[in-house]
Amino acid sequence: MSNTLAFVRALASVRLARLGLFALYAGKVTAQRADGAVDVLPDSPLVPVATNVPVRLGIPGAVVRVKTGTRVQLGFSGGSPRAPFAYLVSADDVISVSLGGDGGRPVACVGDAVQAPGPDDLPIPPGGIVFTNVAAGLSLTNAQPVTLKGSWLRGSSKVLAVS
Amino acid sequence: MTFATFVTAIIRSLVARFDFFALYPSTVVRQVGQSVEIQPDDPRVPGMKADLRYGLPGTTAQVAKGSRGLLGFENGDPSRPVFSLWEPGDVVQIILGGKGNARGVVRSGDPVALALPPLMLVTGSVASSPVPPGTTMTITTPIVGVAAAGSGKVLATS
Repeated sequence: MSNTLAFVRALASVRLARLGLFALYAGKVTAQRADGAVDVLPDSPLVPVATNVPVRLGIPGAVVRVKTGTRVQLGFSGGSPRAPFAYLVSADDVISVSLGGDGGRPVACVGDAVQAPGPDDLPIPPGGIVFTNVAAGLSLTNAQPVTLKGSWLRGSSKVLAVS
Repeated sequence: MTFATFVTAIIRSLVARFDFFALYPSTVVRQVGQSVEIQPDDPRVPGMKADLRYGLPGTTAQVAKGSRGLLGFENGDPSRPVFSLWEPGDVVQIILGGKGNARGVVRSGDPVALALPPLMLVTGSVASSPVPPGTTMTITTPIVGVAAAGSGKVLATS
């Protein structure tokens, strides 16, 4: 009887072992490679250190650069120990988040500066810019509307968007 | 049927449902609305249509054929496939903020147009008009500008 139980237990263990890899395991990033893959040290001593783990995100086209120590969830696609992935969900500080693909330029934020052409480049419309009511010094009248074309000088240091 | 085969069959039947607790790497074949037709890498898992899930509320996206992500099953229910957890890559378009008028987010270097109004209040003094070169004056009327262009791939709603 005990031999039968041991046999069944052994069979079941083989079948059930994979189920443990259906879970997500908390850990921290110990390094991030140039291609974005990370090395992960799981909190649980039962889960081995995972290296060169691809990062998966909930937003398609997003690419993140993270600091060492960033918290992650380590998972295994299909329950396969050969297919680990890192799911970055923590609010830990990030180096950068690129939306729409890798690279891009900083997104502008409220209060970010813009720059239009300097005074030397100010376009003077036909008729010039003249003062009216000079005695009171109150107003400046454009003969025609003037539009200055410039660009945003800066934006977020961490959040980027591609064209 | 041997005893081992018998026991294996029982165990297999008991744990079969757990296969739907796993996540399966898959490739997008086609997008239809906010669902995708996907082809899993694992030959045991058939191609299917799955609802898209994003890690950020209010997000919708148009993904390219060939995009890679993970197929999962809500509640471990094979009739409720969902697709998320994307590999780094390209995207056709992503909209942040939910429903509404979506416009491209502005980035450093994107053009702006500042409009000087026809009548501007100024401070300072001038001796005559037209204003002689070198005159300093301050325009107190706010100059309003708009972003002339932004990202074509990353949009945000109003």
